[in-house]
Amino acid sequence: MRATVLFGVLLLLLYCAAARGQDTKADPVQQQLDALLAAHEASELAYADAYRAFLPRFEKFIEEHRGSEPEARATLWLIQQTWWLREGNSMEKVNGAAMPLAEDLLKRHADSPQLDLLVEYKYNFSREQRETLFNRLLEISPHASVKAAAHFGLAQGSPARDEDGSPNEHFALLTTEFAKVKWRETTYGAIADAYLNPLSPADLAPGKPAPEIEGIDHNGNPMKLSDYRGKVVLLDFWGDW
Amino acid sequence: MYPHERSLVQKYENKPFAIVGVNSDPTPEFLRTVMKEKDLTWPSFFDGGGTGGPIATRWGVRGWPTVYVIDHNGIITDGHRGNLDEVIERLVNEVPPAK
Repeated sequence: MRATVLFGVLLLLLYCAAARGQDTKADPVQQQLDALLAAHEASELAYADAYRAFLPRFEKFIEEHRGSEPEARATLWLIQQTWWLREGNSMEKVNGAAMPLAEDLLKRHADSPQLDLLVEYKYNFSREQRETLFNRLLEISPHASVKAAAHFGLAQGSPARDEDGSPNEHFALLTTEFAKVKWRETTYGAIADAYLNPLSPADLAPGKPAPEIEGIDHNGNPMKLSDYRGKVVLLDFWGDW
Repeated sequence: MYPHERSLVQKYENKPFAIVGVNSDPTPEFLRTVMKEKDLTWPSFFDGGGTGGPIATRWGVRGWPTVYVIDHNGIITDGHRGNLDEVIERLVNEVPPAK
């Protein structure tokens, strides 16, 4: 069963790699990186061991293709993987390795559309490092997608609402100027709205009416939680991992 | 979790019971593949492609899976704190027959 899942994931990765390859007119350097990323993803080694095993190959790739867009992606992989340098609860080595890599990346790739990944990998940076890095992204990136990600990273660094109840400055921008910018398969506007209007534990306590959920199903068709009124519902937050 | 859910769906096939998922996998294609391969017959909301999706964020979900049991009137119950099977059995039997 596990092998089937792994095989499925591998197929999906290859499919994504192929789709991206077409976009970049089958750039052989991108294809080389896609193969490397897929091989790492499919590795059956423990995560930390897989990092150590693949590190030399990524470093060699970075050296050989310095300045190219695939190299930016490979450097982002290095930044993501610094997580495995942590010692117990100490993030000192992780923060110490991730930040120089990120600063160097910004010098060489200020206009890369892939810099939003720095926000995805924010767990590898200290609070102060995040502030510095994400503000820098706002200054240098020409891409709305990167700026939106940077605002999202900064928005999460302080309470969602100021004392007067208004959204913090970054969430305010995410619900207006950047509301339609995509985050994966949804938008920053939708995510910001959820952060600004969260359900409290009291809202979800036994005896309370279940809040409505309006969304889409696996085929993109609209569905609502209240469609199931009249039935006992097991509401199940899940993912295949 | 899948075998348990499948058995609930089978047990209450003609009863007033439904499983409704909120799925945090990366893409709708991925979700469709999982549903097909694991024979999952119940519907799921597709939550934007990650655990940081809008529905899970609004509901404050921090761990997966997280479940709630909602009765036929749409009221949240304490089902998630007790024995799931027993609570569902009791609630399904409490649903008045359709007129």
